[in-house]
Amino acid sequence: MKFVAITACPTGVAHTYMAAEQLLKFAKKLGHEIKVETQGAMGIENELTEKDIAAADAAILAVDIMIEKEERFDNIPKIRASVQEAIKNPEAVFARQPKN
Amino acid sequence: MSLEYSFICPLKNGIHARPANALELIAAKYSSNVSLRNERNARIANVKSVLSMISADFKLNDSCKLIVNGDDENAAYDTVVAYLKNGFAESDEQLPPVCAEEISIPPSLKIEKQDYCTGTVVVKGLSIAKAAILNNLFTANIPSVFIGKDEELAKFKKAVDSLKSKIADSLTNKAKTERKILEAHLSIVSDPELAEKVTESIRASMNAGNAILNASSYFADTLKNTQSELIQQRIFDIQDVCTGLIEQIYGAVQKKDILVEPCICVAQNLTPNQFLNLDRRFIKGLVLSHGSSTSHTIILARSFGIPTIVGVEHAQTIIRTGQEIILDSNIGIVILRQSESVKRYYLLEQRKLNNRKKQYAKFVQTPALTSDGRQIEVAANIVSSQEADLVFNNGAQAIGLFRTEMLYMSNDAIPSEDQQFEIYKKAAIAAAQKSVIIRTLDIGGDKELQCLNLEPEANPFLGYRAVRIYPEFEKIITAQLTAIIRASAFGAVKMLIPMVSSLDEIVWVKRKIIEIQNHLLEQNINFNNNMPIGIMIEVPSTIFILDQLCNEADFFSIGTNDLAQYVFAVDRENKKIAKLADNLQPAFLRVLKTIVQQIHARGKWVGMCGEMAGQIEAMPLLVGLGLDEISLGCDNIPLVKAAIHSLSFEKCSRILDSAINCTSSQEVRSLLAANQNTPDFAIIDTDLIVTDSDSLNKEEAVKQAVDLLFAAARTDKPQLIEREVWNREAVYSTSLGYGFAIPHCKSAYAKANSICLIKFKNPIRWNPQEEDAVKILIMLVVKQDDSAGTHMQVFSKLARKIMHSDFRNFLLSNDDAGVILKFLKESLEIK
Repeated sequence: MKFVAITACPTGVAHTYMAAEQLLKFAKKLGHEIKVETQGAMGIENELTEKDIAAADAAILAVDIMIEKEERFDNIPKIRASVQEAIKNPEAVFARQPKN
Repeated sequence: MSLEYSFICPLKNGIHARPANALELIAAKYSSNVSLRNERNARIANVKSVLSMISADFKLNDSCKLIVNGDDENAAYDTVVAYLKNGFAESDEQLPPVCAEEISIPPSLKIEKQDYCTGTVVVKGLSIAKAAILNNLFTANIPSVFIGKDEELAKFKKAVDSLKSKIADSLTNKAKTERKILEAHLSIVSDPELAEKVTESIRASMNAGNAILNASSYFADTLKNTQSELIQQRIFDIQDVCTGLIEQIYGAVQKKDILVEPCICVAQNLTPNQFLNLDRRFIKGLVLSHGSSTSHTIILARSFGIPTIVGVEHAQTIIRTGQEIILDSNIGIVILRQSESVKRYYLLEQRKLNNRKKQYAKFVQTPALTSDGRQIEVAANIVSSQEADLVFNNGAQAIGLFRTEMLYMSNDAIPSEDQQFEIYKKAAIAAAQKSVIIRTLDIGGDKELQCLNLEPEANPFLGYRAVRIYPEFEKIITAQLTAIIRASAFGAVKMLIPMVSSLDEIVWVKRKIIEIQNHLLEQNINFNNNMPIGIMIEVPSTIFILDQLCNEADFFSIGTNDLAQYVFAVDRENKKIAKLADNLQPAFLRVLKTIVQQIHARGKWVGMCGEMAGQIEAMPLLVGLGLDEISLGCDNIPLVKAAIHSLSFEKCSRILDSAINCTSSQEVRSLLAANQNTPDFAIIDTDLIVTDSDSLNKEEAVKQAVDLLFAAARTDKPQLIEREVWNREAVYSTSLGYGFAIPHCKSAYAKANSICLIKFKNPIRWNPQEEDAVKILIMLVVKQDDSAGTHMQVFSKLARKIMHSDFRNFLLSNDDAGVILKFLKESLEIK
């Protein structure tokens, strides 16, 4: 499958990036394609374009806070998870059924 | 017939003085015997005697039986039972919390509210020792004469009556809590059991005084055995009352506080005199229930580096003599009971402070220079020649203020010329050609000197003090001036004259000096003919005649405490207004700038002594002023030198110019905070890596990590960062699994972005529900205002790396800090 994902934690110092790394690592392991945007203390990095989102099968929102530009995902099936889940149990996150 | 009523004691602290007092007041209205039986220990107490009731040790949930018999037993029973049912349970209200302001207990200090009390910090530090309640250790001067039973009894009765009315008189105008204590005293004075005990002893041919002492120790012994801390505290009330009674009979009891071992002194207040009469070697700390931060006792405490807090209400009643207490005047608390975890916390605190000291050690013997090469001499304030060696060892470049009045105050007699000469000479020799500024006698204001017999004044700070009294006490001052002039032959001695307000005064002193010098010449006694003579700038009038004063004086020293007091018309002893005399008010900064400019324009030297000279936060302003010297308490010297090294004179002058144009001291503080200058710290360094930590739990682990930042001078407020880490941890745990936890925070108190790495000897269980214990803690601390985000790439790279087992395994399997540092630098691409 083809995923886009966003990670964002309260301080934006550590967990945002750990979750992003974990999603990248497990996507590879599970044979998925993924692009991960981080919204941390440095702002938005590796930003998802409309093209990225349109090309994806589902979006993973591993976020503990309100994120910026959430409307981009209005028309794509979504998997919602906490940052914690993405770090501690990424396989379960990928296994979840995306919802509109 | 007697009436009985059974009930369960509902009071959390048992029947201590206050509930007992309430019951006593009710029972006393009736002639019947009213007693209370404690079924637990079978003791029977007389309800009309507070002492009897508290001796019976009623505790929470004890079964109690009220027994009433006598003529009016029905009425008495009804009233007392009604009170027991309604109101008694509420008679136990706790003392109101005192001074709750800004005391923040770090999460790693696990302590219950009732185990400590708080106060206002005046001298920071940490001390663990036995407590000694001053003014309480009295040796009564009771004659052994016994006049006769009736006469002694009459003496006692008279003493009871007069003490009663004395206490009753003082009840008015007292705050609620103080009134309650006085009321408790009043009930002790009138207590029938006390009277009985004293009477018994007098009947056995003991005189009234000894009978009272005897009763005092009898009740103290009885109460010691009760299990309630609160009741044990009553011992002091009883001792107070008994002292009061003895004073009524024999006049003022000679109170003499003698320290025989290291201890933390606890008192209501201490005069400089009382303080100086204590054996200084044994004073490990000072806890005062009154006292302002600038009183002279406090200045003395600061000078000796004695940890001190003030405003600890009822300190003398809460703390017992001989009790082991911890005075933590970094936080502002006195700990009354120490659990194992509290002891452990203070072990870690000691370790932290020792590590921090090492950090500043390199500044001890280097001269203070700004980064752009401007010198500012950092000198020390002392009050005795014994301190001279101490201050030079701690990096003082001179003695900027030798306060001499303490020599006069610590002795009953005025020190002779020769005695003083020896003292000044000793300081001059210790200074080895570094300058020693000796200030002549500054008596008056809050510094009384009994032997001068000065009349009490309504406004002592505006009164007859310092240089103003010299002409009247010419003999005394001549002795001092002579001693200083003679000492000038042995080192770089300078003389400083306090409280000058007009030209006449300095002219008078200088004429006196010439007289003395001529006299010494005749006797062939050596002295330095060119000994510099300086003026304290503390009276505002001098600022307007600096041109004239510069013709008379060789140097000047700004006394900021008095100057601020006179500039703002604020009595610094008055708690309600003390804040108005803020050194950082733009008005005051303008005053200082004017002074320094005018003096420098005439080519003269100007330094600063007084509180402000030791304020680290004000350092950019002091450097910006272009002062030639600052003189401060010995302890802060390395810290101040380090601060000066990190500042540039050019930038500081600009900060000063901005500060002068601020509209409030608060704005000045923000300006200083925004311009905080810190040396360039690497994001990680070997001093932030510990590979053999003995932390026992996660709170200790975080404390240890934050303490590393403190020891490395990356923060001055480790406890606030600790709190921020725990605030973040409360959102959700930062334990990752794999044996790693990464607590982190953004903090305004961090001077540098930092990564700390700690490996534990024994893995730490981070969360109760998690099996996986933490072996490595990596703490990330990000500067709050780091808008540039200099190190964010490093932090995010670290976070990503941690998700990979090869990265984790390297850290788990290597124990050398150098190897770990190199590995982190490479993998995180830190240059």
